Amino acid sequence: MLRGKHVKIIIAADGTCTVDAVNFTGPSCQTATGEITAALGGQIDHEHLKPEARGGEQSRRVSGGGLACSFLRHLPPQTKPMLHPNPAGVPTGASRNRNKKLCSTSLHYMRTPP
Amino acid sequence: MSHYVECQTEFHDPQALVAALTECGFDESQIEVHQEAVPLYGYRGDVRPQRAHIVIRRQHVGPAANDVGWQRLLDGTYRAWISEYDARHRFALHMQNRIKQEYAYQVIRRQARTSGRTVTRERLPSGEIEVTIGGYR
Repeated sequence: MLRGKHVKIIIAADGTCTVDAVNFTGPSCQTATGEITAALGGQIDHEHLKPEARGGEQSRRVSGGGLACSFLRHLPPQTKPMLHPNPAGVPTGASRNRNKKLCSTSLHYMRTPP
Repeated sequence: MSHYVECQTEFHDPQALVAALTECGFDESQIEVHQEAVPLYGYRGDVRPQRAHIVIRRQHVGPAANDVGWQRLLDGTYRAWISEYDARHRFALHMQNRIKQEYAYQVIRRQARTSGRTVTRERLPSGEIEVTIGGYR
């Protein structure tokens, strides 16, 4: 089992993926998960920011840049993230539980008559 | 600290899709990859209006099967053409999901290795695939 920084992905039987960046500090966790979601072409349905990500977003608000913003640029055009940050920016237990990003991509199978 | 994303998978890498299909039991020689879309044929040899860039011909799918194909769309994603018959047989939902699952693993593996990272894979009893990527600094 890896003890340092690593990303764990669970690919469910239906193809849904859970991407978990473990032991990262700072907004680099978003970069790590962003690399994977970009490869998957995933469309984000929900985004739950963790404390570091909120820090990145705060810096984006201040500087107009930041990693939270660059992560979103990694996503495909059809991506429609819905951000749910803790408005007060307080890392409460409840907000930690919401520090997750959820995304989905529709996959259309067109069927033809036999 | 942990951070995670949940997402589904969209086919846009033809090599990964071919690799996924081979993991799902097709020989690479049974999978046609075309730069231009080619017609699909029905079980009686009739030409279908659908065209695809990645094709598995009906003789490799099963008895009374039709061609199965994936057509590249303008946005670079691939749309699957699966007949209703085949969607009830070899390409039932279980198989379609397994292709998505294997495809997801293939694109993750390619992305990680391109970045010089290590990749381990383990199939869980639940049917899920657990992938661990290391080598981050």
